[in-house]
Amino acid sequence: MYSMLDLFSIIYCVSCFVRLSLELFSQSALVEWALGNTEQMMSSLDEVFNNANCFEDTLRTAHVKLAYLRMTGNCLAEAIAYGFKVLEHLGETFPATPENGIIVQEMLDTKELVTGSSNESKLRSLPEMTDFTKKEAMTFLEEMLLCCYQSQSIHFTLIACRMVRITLQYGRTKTSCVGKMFLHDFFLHLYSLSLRLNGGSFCS
Amino acid sequence: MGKTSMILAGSDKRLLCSIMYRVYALINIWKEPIQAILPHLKEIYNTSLKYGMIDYALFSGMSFAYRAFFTGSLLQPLRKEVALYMRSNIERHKRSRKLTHLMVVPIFNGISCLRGSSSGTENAEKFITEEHLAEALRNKEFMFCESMLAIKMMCSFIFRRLDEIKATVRQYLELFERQGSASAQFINIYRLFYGGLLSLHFYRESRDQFWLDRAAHAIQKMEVWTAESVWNFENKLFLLQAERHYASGEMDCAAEKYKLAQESSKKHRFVHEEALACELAAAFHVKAGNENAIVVAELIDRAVTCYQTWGAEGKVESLLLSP
Repeated sequence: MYSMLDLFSIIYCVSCFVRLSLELFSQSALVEWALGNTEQMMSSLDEVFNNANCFEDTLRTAHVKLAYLRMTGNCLAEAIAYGFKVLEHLGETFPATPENGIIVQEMLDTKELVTGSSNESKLRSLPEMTDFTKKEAMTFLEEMLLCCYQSQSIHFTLIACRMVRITLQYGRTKTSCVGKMFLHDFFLHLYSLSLRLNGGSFCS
Repeated sequence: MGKTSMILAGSDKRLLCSIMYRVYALINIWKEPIQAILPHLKEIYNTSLKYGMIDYALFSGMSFAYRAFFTGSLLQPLRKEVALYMRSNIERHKRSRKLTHLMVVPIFNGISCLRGSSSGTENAEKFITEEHLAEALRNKEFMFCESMLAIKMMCSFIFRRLDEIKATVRQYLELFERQGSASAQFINIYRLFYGGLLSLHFYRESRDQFWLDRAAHAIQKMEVWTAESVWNFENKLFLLQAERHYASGEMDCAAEKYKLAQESSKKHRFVHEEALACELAAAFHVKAGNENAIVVAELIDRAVTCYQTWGAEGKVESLLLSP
């Protein structure tokens, strides 16, 4: 006869083993990808998707899949749709067809938050991000930023602004470090916007 | 901004690679002399490889190839560098990261095309087909599609295979004009530059307002960009303006702008665009009939010398054979 404590220990151990094997499949997918064995990579990814207990268990694998789809050269539309779906699960939604006015306003608002000497010093001293969901969201947002760059999508701007806001609210992460994300991609698009405004081809 | 970001990255080399890639490949091209960016991209490529950042290595190598090709790096050494890059990296990751492979192949073929028949493909129509462009578009790979279009327009314009590309240019220029308003990417510069030159040529032939509108858009963009970086854009703007004056029959203004385009290209070290400016100026003077034969011959000689310096032997051959 097992005591309740033993039972909890067993459940805990099984749960740890499941997580460990999912993690191993995820790592295996990465290795197969690096080696160019895409079929084996997909098979490892499927193992994780089919055996995961919850959405959080699939996040690492979903990121590998998204990066793979982006780099294949013929699945960008699929990658973008997939990325937005994952982001929605993580609580980050975006309009399907954002209007120019919304984008301009978003950029101007975000600019307010990051420019000026006081804001810049605040940026430099942001704490590390601890919120798990937001950290994951930042990882996917980074990948989606690249997808949108490749597809020349107007969502690029909205994603960059979202990353700035998450960073300001929840702190910085390694993947979306202060400089990397908003000081570059954001200002690249701010610059693009100013070019468009100056060029007169952009109506807000 | 970029410098601040690099400071923030601190000693994390992997993070630094990704930041430097963005700063040099995507942002500084709008501000700093573009030739000065190339060594940095090589450095990022090497560092990324060293720290196992395959994607950044592939992308920085690819960005280097594109930037070096379009900004007039010497074709012979560039061809070797691109070939080495393809052999050592692209082949290895061809299946898993097909996009970088797909994007570098047209550059390699473009270089071969300009180098001449002994080096490989002669005609951009053959290595970038309608089907290639349509497929990229179907897959929403707008950046890839625009890159192929720019290479195709550049090669076709330089080799004066203008009628062959007319339908393609008509189909895609307007599309990218709309699409491109959502982005500020390196390839936009050369799609607009060669698209503008082609549009003005077609406008001179047909007086179709469609072409004048495309050219006006290209000139307008180039004016904005020139205000940001005289070094990178002034010569292109002068050349587009010269062609527009020519198309409008403003011959004195055109002659002046051709001269400025040549001077600016030379000053800012765009040897291929200097060659183009000389060649187009020579064609203008012949058509206008307002210059003596010596001036035209001098311009052609200078164009040949510049094309030779660049390493475009294929073009030199065709220029010397043309009447």
